[in-house]
Amino acid sequence: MENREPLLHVEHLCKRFPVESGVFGRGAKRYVHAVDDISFDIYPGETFGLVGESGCGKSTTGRCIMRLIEPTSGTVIFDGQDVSQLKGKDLKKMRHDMQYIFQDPYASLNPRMTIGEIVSEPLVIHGEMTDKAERMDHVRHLLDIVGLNPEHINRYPHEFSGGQRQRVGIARAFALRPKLIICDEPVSALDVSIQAQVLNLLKDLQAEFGTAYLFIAHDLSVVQHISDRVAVMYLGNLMEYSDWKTLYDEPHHPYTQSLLSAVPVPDPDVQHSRKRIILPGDPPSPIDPPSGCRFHTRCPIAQKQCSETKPELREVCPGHFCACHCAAVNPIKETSIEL
Amino acid sequence: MGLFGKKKRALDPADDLKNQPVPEGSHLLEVDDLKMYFHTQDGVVKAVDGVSYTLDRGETLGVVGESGSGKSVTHMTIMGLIDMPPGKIEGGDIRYRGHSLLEMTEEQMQHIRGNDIAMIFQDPMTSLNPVYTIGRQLGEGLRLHRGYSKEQALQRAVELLDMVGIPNPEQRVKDYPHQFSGGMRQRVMIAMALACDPDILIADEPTTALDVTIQAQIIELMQEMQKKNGNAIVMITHDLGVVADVADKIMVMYAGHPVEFGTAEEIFYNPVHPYTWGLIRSIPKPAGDEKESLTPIEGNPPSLVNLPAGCPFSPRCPYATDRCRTEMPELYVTETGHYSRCHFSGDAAFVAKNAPANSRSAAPANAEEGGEA
Amino acid sequence: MTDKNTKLDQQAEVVEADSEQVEASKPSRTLWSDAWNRLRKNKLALIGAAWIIFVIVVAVTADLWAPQLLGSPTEIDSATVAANSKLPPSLEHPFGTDATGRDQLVRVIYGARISLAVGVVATLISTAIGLVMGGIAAYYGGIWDTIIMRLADMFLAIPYTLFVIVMLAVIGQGIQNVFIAIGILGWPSIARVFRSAILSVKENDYVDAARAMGASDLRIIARHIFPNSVASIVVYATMNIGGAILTESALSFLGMGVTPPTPSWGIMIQDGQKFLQTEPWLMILPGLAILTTVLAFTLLGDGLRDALDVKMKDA
Repeated sequence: MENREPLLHVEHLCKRFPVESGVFGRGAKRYVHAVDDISFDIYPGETFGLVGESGCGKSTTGRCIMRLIEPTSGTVIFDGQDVSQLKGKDLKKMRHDMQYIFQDPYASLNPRMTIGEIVSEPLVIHGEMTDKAERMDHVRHLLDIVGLNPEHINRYPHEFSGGQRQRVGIARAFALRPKLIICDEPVSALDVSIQAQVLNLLKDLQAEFGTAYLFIAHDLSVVQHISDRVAVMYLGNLMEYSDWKTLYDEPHHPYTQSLLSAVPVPDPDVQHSRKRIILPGDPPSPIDPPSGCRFHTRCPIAQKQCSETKPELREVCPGHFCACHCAAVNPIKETSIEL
Repeated sequence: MGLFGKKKRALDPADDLKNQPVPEGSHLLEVDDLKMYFHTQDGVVKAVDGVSYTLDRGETLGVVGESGSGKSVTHMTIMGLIDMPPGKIEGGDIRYRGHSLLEMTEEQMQHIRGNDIAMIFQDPMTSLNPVYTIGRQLGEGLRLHRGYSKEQALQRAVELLDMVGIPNPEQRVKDYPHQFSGGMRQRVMIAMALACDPDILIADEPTTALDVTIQAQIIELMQEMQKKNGNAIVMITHDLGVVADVADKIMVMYAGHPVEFGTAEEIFYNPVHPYTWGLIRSIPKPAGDEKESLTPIEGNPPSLVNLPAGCPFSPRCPYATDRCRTEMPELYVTETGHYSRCHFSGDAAFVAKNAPANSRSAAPANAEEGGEA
Repeated sequence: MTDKNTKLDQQAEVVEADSEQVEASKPSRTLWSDAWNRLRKNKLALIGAAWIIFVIVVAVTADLWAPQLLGSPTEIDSATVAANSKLPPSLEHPFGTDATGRDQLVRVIYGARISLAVGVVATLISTAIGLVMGGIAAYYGGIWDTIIMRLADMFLAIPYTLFVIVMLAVIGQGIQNVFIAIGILGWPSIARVFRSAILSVKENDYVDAARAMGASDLRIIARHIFPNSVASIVVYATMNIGGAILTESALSFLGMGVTPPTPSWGIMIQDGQKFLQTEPWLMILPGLAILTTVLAFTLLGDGLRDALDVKMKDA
């Protein structure tokens, strides 16, 4: 996999949002460090999972890549082009090949447009299939692929349930056969049984069209299930990434380990017998993130150097990167910390 | 002495139901064939249709279901929090220590709520009143139900905050809700619910709005409090993982009906209802060696106004027969009290053939699958 | 999710979505037909709408029948002034006659023309300015937002009627100037409503979705933002018509609006107030005309707000 050219190359991506401080906005300007120097690659046809808790910057990362918000600094190279430099026509062209699926199936569809208009909008914008009849045939085909009744082309979003609306959003994302789709928590607003339908649909479509996914979610088991490789984010930093299996079997970073142990497993025996690492406290504010390693304030194995220097992502095994001073030396599993 | 409006007389401890013994042959909480319908413009919504269960002190009941399955409405009904109309109880009974809650006056219910049965909600952000300090809100129930003075209530509020693991409680009681994080607020909600030492704590998706590391903290806290106080917990959730963690008994609900009820052991390792199977198969398993593909339940939940004939799950059930589509199944009950509402639950061959792989009643070929953490 | 209402809404939502799936053959309902269905159930709004339609029909067709039946609304017949002055309501003169012997009903009917014209035209002017200003402020934000909204604040800080009077004193009296004065001074509220509507619509993911597809600004405004924020303007403008009618009446009452002998409700009240002790109908009846018409616009506006609120079904 590493030999191929990456479809998306993200390097030192940063996004800071200014926050008002003081009554008149005077004094030193403060920033929310939403995304702080992250780098990764996505290869054609693979699913790259980005997992983390709320406020860790995972959605901001997706939006920066899509240029829905402007990154503060860093490079995003998509299909050989530097996304951050694109303007006008070139940006539009880039958006032809990169699509977005949103979390909220209620807010992501315009309530005043029919399903047909919504799904055909990308075609209209990019001037493809100018013949209306042809376009509508294509839309019917798309609705059929995502498991909706093509006869419903003239209906409005409010006539559909959450899961069906999410299918509409998926049909829209696939209308232009993009190379990459950024899926921003696409199933977290759905019920369990519907969630499984949508996950299977995404997998099937990927198998058919060879689309790559950047799959952003807070639910580790969902991300594990769909992804080829998984990255864990905490407070704007990438803590660890590797292929899904290694990350699950041999997590190096104490944060990944505690995250894995905190996910409830739907099996009482496993749940009662396994050792759990419960992290103390809340994640710190991204406005004044901790010095050194972002995780050291909650880390069960933090050392002195963790609060002083920020650990770099190091390749601990081929394809397995981890940003921790102590991880390799002192993995949490062996320290057997009881909390 | 109440914060709002008229002065309330504190309850004489002898009258407090909590301090009376549970009558012989009855349970702490008995829900018996409860039916709660909403009469709306579009028709009758059968939100809760025939829910039955029993609960004793120290037990945890997990109630699992999708949105609209009636799992929340059932417990809002128990708390007497449903507006009637449009709601109407169409049958059944709810007994707390042998006393019917449905026959109680609103004033009696006010003594029950918070004092005997307390509830915590999903969203800790909107469950606290932003204009009062945490200490004042924590003390409110105590002043109402126990007749505590302002100073006593504040003193107890400090203890409660300390108990739920909030650092520096003497200072924090003076803070307002916005000064707390989401996880901290849920701790405050738990402290508030436990303030009067209730018999039953109903938790409606208490961790859904929280991050997974915070969720683990809150679940652990609830279990710890239960160990200490001996109260019963009803944990309403859509997350089978959470119930696997905490529940002794589990009720699975679908379209207003309890479709299966049993011990956690029974529901996870010996489920007999196809909907329970569907739920178990829908959840991504923490990875084994190979990724198992998910088997979702096809289709969408039915309209509660226009329920399908026969078994409400029949349109989505892969095993449905003509009988399922015309005839509402009777409850199939085993001697352990494990019940299921399916025509075929009693058919051991059918269950062994179709139950999910981790089921112990499934065919031996696909028994015991991995899942190591 | 904390209160039971949200729970029930959720429940109702599921019910709604699924009753649709059951009846797949049912023709699709558009949002506007849905809105109409909801409006139809609102009795008060329907009464308001019926009254408005009645007043409009009467006012528009007045030339065809009113003078023949009731006499001229403006001309004073010097021969019969004394005999016809201040007659109480009767079959011949249902609203009585004024001090100069003119029929009151015909004057109220012609007064409706003025009032409705002022209401509608002034509101159109306010809305046009308000939409542009609010739209620029919301969509482009930053310095434009600051300038426009501070300007709006300034307009709103000055007593409205007083401002209109000053303006009329500068540009002169007359019906067109009343249109202009009321119209121009009405924009800040419309701009504010439109701006906040756009800002809340802009938050929706479908706007981001359109951007992610590569849609142009113009397309986003025209296809996504405008159709979803226009409902609040329809509601506000409807209510604004009532307000403009009131302002016109007040101006005419103060002698700054339409000039006699053109009949206007405000002028009639001004004429009638002298006789409030002795012939109260001279003031009360035109007053009722204002009251009912303004109330009708308010009721209709309220009904529209409930009917057009997509969030009621959608959020």
